[in-house]
Amino acid sequence: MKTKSELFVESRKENWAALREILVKISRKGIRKLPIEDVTQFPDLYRSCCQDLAEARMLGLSPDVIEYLNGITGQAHSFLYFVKPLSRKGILSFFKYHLPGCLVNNVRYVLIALLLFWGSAVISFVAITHNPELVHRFVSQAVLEQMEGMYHDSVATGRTAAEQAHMSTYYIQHNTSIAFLCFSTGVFLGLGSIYFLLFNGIFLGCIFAYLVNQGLGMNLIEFVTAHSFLELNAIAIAGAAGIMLGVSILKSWKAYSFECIKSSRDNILLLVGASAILLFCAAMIEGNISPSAIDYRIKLGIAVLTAALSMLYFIALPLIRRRQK
Amino acid sequence: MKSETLTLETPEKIVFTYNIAQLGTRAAAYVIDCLIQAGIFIVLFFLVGLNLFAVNKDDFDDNTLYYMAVVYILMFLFQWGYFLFFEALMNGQTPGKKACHIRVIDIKGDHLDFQSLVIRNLLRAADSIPFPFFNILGGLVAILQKESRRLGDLVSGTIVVEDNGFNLKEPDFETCLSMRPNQMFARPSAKERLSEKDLYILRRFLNDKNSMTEEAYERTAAAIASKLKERYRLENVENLSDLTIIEEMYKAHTDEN
Repeated sequence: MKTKSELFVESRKENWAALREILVKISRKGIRKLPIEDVTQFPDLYRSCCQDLAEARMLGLSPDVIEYLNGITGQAHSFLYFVKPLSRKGILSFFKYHLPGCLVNNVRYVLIALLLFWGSAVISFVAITHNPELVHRFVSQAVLEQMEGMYHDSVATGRTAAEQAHMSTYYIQHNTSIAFLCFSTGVFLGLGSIYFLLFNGIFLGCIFAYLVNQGLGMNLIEFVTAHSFLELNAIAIAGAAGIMLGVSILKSWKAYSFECIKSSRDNILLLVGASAILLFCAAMIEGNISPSAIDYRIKLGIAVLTAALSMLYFIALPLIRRRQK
Repeated sequence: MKSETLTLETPEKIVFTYNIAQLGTRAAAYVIDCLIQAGIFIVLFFLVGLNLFAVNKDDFDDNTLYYMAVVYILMFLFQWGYFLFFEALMNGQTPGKKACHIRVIDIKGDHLDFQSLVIRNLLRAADSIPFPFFNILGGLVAILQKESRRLGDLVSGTIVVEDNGFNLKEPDFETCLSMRPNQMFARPSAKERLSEKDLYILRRFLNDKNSMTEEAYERTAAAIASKLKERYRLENVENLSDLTIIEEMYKAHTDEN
């Protein structure tokens, strides 16, 4: 008479071999070249082998058989649970519904970050206009001289198209990297993001006050008017995402559960995405329009226009949608 | 060196194990990926020409400036997008990871989604503190835990596992069946039986094992199993867990027939 285990192995052996054959085919030719009959069989075979693995453990079969079953199911798992691809519809609804709501839905974090950034900027600006000597405590002489050199003459001298392309791409690379760093250091319970927000805010206030004290304020304003609204707020938004990341890590630490991070993950990424998009627009303006010789009133107009458009998209649109619900 | 394993419970509620990738393998994969990126850059620099290193910026002609614009964009895309692009496209692998036979998976065994990969790769900036491109902090964090996950893995809920760690060789079912644990623990003669007192210890352990702390469980199981192995000179049991030995022993000694 045959034992239960022998009967089990005999009846399932062929299923296991079939799954193994599919796995060998995939590893040789890739999952896209799998014949259609195998594609339809694959998930069913995987599921039945999963059951067999559990049953083999219960029956106490030999470790070799269990390892073999573990091998084929594990390998099949890595092929079946592939990385979900992005759909075109998903990208569209990202821009249409998800992205515009990110600032309003996480308004607490955004306000904290804006307050930290602009607050430190304003305080350091006021402090240094009243006491110009203080600037040397925060910024080194070399940096101050470099800034003075940059804005000594009016920067609005016009550039060639090649120079504009060169500078725009430089700003994209440089500023977005700063924003990403500002976000990702939020992993240290938000402290890294807070540090970068304060650091950038104080640096901004110091340089502004210093140049105003030197009588070069108008040159600086002429250069930064068009792009600064987008650029500076985008850095603050990246910081907000970092603070949110830190808070969600703290929460999940307290709850001993990873779910807290997972549930706020989409909102965090939307904020980072908003920051990156704003920085891209700011870099385009900073490279092409800010240094050009066009009338200052046009630059001011562009600043007002971009501010109005971004506020319409990020604040008015989600608020109107919320009211309609 | 034996690698740590990750026990995974899939959405089908089935448990199986992956071998967790070792840090050295991960470092090798990272170096390969960096070399690939560096290679593309070197080619680009040769295209641009050596006047990139000219000191005076005013010497640049328009073509050089356009090339530099392209280089900046590529630098940005490589720095933040290389790993994300390939991990999304190649099912959790980059060219370097593929060469080293490792793969990123979701720690719960679910589909890896795009968001996890974005967070995982944005946090490279935090992992590479204090020097860019050298994952010093991430490496330290990974060394400190069993599952060797860096900060990006911890936050995004991912883990890097060995991809060829599975044994796909079909075993010889005949010999496997004849070597079933049940038969290795033959019913002993009356003289060799465990005493009632010993059986009581085994029974207490089997009953209480679920309410013990992990440490106490492992220590007790190892102690009991090693005593049993010694006393009955059990052979060919290296592959069996301590728990299986104790269970089978208990069964063999209490069987009424």
